[in-house]
Amino acid sequence: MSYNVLVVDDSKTARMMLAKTLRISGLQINEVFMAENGARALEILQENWIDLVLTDLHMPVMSGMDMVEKMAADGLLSSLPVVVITSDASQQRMKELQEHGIRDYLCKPVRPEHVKKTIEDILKGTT
Amino acid sequence: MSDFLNSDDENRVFSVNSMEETLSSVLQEQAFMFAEYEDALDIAATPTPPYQYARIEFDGPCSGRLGLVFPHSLLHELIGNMLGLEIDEIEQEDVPDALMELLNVVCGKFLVAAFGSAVKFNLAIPTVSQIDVSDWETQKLKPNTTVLLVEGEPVLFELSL
Repeated sequence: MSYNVLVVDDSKTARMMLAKTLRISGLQINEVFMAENGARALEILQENWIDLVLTDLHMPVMSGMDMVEKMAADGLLSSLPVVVITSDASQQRMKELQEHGIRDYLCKPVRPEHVKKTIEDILKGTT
Repeated sequence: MSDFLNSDDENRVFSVNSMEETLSSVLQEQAFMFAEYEDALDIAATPTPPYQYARIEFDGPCSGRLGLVFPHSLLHELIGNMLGLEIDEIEQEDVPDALMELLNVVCGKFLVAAFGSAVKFNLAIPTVSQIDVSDWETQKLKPNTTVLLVEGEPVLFELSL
């Protein structure tokens, strides 16, 4: 089984580093799609089969949380797992994210073994 | 300011140590580069200008600012390693973006190292500007600035709490 993953971040550096991390993680990755904000991500989600979204929170045009809210209101996208990639690892922030339906989070810098375990746990139904 | 430290001097030492460890670990993990602490006065040679000065402000139980000043000579190796690109594949627009991302990660990790994960901070969007040799010399001698040697090249980090 190979996965299509959507990476959403306004930083080109962050997108490229995460794509690199995914490729060396040992996960079976079919394709890594990339979007620079939540609005572009929603367009990609309408046009492509995506297994999981990895997103930043603070982005211009449309934030990660606004994107998640729009996904939740869309019948086809509401069950798609979203993982937040963040530099803010405070417990309070993580609690807020989970209350908004975020499946999990990864703290930057993201390590290959962490992204592999998180995605496998979610897509194999253990999280 | 939190009450986990007893004096401004202890606070400064603790914070600088946390910052030094954080920056070293992020550079090692993300750019495969090694950093070591140096006394500013021991750095005789000034690296060739220009320099890129990246700053980020944070706000929470206390507010403050982190800054990093990289000599241009180190930037392409740093960014090439971060992105997995050859030096001639790096575009000029990649430089500020990569520094902002690096600083964002360093700041997030530093705040957890210094204050713990139970404390919530808000991080501002980092900014990057180019500075010249006189700014470098001034910045280097400021009391809130520490010098790290990264792959033998001096890098300044500024921590204001």
